[in-house]
Amino acid sequence: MSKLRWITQFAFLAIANLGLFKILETGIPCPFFYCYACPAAAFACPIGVFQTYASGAFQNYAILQQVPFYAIGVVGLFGLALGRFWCGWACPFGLVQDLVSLIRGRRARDMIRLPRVAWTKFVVLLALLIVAWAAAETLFCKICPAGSLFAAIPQRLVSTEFSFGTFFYVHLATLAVVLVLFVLVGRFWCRFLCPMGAVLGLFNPLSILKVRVDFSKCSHCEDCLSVCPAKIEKLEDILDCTDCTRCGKCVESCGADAIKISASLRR
Amino acid sequence: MKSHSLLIIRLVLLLAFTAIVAGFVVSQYEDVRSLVTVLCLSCIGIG
Repeated sequence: MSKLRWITQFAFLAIANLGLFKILETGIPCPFFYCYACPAAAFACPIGVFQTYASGAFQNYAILQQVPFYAIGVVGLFGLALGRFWCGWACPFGLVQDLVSLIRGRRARDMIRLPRVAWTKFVVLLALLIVAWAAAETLFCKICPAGSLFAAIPQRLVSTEFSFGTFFYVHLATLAVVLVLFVLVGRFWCRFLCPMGAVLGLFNPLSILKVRVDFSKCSHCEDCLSVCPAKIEKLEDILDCTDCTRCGKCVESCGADAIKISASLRR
Repeated sequence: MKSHSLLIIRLVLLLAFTAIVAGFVVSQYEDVRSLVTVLCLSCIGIG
């Protein structure tokens, strides 16, 4: 399963960059964290879209047009279908974190062990929307480390005619900080900071695709919890918690074959 | 949560999100697309 996940992560990185062909620059919000300022971006970052609307960029429109209903609907459909599966299997920034974590070795534990904290990413989401509204600016975009990696640095490489100002160096600084954190703590961004993870996490209890535990087979060895990158602490939490990215490491680790990723409308 | 309530909630949300997308795609798609096609210079610290 881990090989399949690497393949899908690289495939979605390629799909996110289909905007290289100008005809494929779409107005579809993507279900993961990828900057639309990337020279090759094919989709719109939902967090960027939500901020743009909150900043009042469309305030000369009719009131109904000032709310990002279309983006909310698209993200809602993505979330309802797969929840945070997108984080574990598709997100290019998740892929970066997984690649950086290879420095620690495939099975190595986090260098700094942090407990699960579910609420921080919701604070980030709320704060960035309030700041965008109050400042009438997409301020989070100016410090976003994904924007640094996927947009600011590539734009610097391909756009030699531009001069780069203060926020370019702010981007580099935030990227450097989070890269160090990724080395120390696996999936640090997903676990504590990702506003897109917060949005998709809300759908985890309702998503059609879930990690499901068959407690009649479970031996309660807790091998699954020991390998969980989201640091979920109770078996019961796997099903509905906002942190599970459906990465499947628990499925692989289960000797009793009690855990499966499956789709169901009823369960 | 009981299975039939989950089923109903999912179907209601599915219909609601589909209706929202259908209702606003025509008026908002191009605005969202403009964010992809027009480079936000200040976002990435250009200039």
